[in-house]
Amino acid sequence: MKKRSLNFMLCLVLSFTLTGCWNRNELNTLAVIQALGIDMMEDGQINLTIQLLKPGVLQGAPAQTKGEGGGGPCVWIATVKGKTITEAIRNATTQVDRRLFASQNKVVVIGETAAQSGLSPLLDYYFRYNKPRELAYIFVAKGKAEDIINAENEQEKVPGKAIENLAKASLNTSKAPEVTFHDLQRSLVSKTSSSFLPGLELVKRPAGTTIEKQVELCGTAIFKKDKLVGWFDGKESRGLLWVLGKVKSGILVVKSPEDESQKVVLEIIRASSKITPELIDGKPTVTVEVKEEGNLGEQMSSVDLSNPDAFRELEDKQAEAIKEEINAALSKAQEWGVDLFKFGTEYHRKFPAEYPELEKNWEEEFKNMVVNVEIDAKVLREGQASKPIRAEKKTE
Amino acid sequence: MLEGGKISARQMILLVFVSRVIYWITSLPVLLAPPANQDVWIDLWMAVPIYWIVALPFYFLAKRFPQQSFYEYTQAITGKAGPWLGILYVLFLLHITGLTLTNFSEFFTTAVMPETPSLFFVISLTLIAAYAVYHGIEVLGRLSELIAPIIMIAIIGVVLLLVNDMNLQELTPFLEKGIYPSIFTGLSPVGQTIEIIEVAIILPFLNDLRKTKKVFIYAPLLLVFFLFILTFSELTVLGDDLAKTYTYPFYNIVRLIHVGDFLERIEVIHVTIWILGMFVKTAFQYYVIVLGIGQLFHLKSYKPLILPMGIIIVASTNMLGSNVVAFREFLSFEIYDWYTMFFILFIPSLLLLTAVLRKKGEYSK
Repeated sequence: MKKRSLNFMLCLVLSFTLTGCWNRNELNTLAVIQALGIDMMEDGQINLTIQLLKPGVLQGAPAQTKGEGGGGPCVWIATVKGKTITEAIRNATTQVDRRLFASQNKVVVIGETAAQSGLSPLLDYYFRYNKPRELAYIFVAKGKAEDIINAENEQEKVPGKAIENLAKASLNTSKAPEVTFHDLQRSLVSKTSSSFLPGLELVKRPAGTTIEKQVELCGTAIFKKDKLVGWFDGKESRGLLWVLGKVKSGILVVKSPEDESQKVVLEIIRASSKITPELIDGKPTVTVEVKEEGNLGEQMSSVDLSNPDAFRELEDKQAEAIKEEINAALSKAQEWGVDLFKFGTEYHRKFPAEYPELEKNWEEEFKNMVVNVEIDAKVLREGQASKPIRAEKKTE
Repeated sequence: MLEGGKISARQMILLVFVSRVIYWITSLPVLLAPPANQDVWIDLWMAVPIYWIVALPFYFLAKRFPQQSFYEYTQAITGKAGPWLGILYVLFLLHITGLTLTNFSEFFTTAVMPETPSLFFVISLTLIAAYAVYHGIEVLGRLSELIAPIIMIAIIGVVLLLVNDMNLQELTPFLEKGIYPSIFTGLSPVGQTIEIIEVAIILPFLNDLRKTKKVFIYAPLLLVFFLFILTFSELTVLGDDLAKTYTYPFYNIVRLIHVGDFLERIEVIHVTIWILGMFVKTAFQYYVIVLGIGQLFHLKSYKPLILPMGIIIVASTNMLGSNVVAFREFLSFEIYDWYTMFFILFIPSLLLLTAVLRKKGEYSK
């Protein structure tokens, strides 16, 4: 009997521990960060633009844009200043009544001036603190990050979500990279490699539309170590991705083999790359081999291309187009002395004995490096149409 | 007789496995041991022979005194100095238990719940461990049998989910510094494995004493195999530079898991096995401490010692280091391994030498 009552008491006491966690976070006490913009002001202070979710509005309103009977915008923007990121986030509590919650944040945009002054000081907070995710996407704004975060979006109720989707959709053209914090960390930690991030810019829309300006992906921001040095346009960005073997899909437009005035579209199906470092008389020489498979995606001419000769010619043109993109990226990277292609790491892997000597002066070595580009491009299929709809008879 | 229970060789091996591998799923100091580069995953296999060498004194001592625990034969060998040596070992194990609990709460306050007082984690774990210790060695053995498979499945499952993120190129250049540094890489995990003393203490409770050799041979193999899995996945997912930067590299790669858009944020699995494993580890260390005091002072039961010792353990966690940096510096390869080596290699070897010279134990007959 005594034991039973003791057990009963124990159950009663233990039930008090089941009420929940020590520092619980209820949704209605949190301000969920959707996107974060980091700008550097002229006086060296950090300006944070925080896009915060209004969960009530998101749930209540039908899927409409604002002004059409919906409950207004689903997010609001807090702008705070501070000497460091952490201080700025703490300063936000003077205007945000709820606790800032960074775990759901998948978009971080860094302003151009902040990027020029160096990434690593800005990101230490992200690597140290336990809440932000390593899988968040990171961008560089052309101009101020504040404007990007402030911009609205036609499609998505939460503009931050739209930016995240842009990063995921970048593989359709492969004209901008998709970079998460984890990827960035890995390139920042390397002694020889340089980093790159996708760029965002605000583009004016035609008059009369509900939203004046919208956010668009624009090429790649190139960093020397962790400082912004310049931008790659779409073509150069893809050149970079070719070498890294990160091209997933995309479109190559070449001139038609039979009719120079018309365009033929080749769709990239898959691509891979191989980097072979060599030392010739102590001088580094790199061979980049890119293997690509494409389909005939579209053609504007009325010439029947479905014969082996034309396909072979298309393959040559495709290889030429890829080579041109790679060379554009290579020459710019060598001019700036930024090893975006992880060539240094490849030398470390293949020539561990010579590497310490090379590493000392890697920037010069990279600038003067001879890079051979070899393309193996194939055109495999032609879709469901074997001939254009008004095919001309080939004149023999 | 302080302890009437018996455990099997398998339970003993799993007890060692849980106690050691659970620590490696957060901190992995082997990454920082020389050569501290991408070759650690292969160099660490050198730990297996080093384990066997370190186990030799314990093995021969156990052969000479099959019915006695480490504390008991220490007294039989050294005579009057025996109790003092025993107390030294109790204090050493107390220190290690304090370090274990500090590590347990530091992980929580750093990575999971920064605002909860660390004393809360320490007290709750010590209380549960005290309950397990109260029920003796058989309960510990069965606990290890229950929890070890959970830990194995969780680790292997997590690593399989990460296969997509692994980049085998991170492991090249292969053996950059040659084979020589692997001796140091091998020393690092062995130095941390104070569980070898705990095994020597509970060896007389083995239900089949002929299996002593089996414990000493297979436990290191299992440990090094899992150390290899952890190191390999961390190096291939993070690369050696980044893996060294992180305080808790395995926790960070668990955070990186994303399969499609639905299977992510599964670090709670890591936290769950961390609590389960730390419970077994703490209980095991707690048990050998109170058993040691019981055997040194020839008490009839160690049970009255459990709660007072629990209070000492909880109190000691607060005194071990002024902050986490000092704590980690102590646990680093350069300091901690030499500290433990004194207890797991130096003293046992001297004991064995003394036993041979003074013709103590069964072999002398």
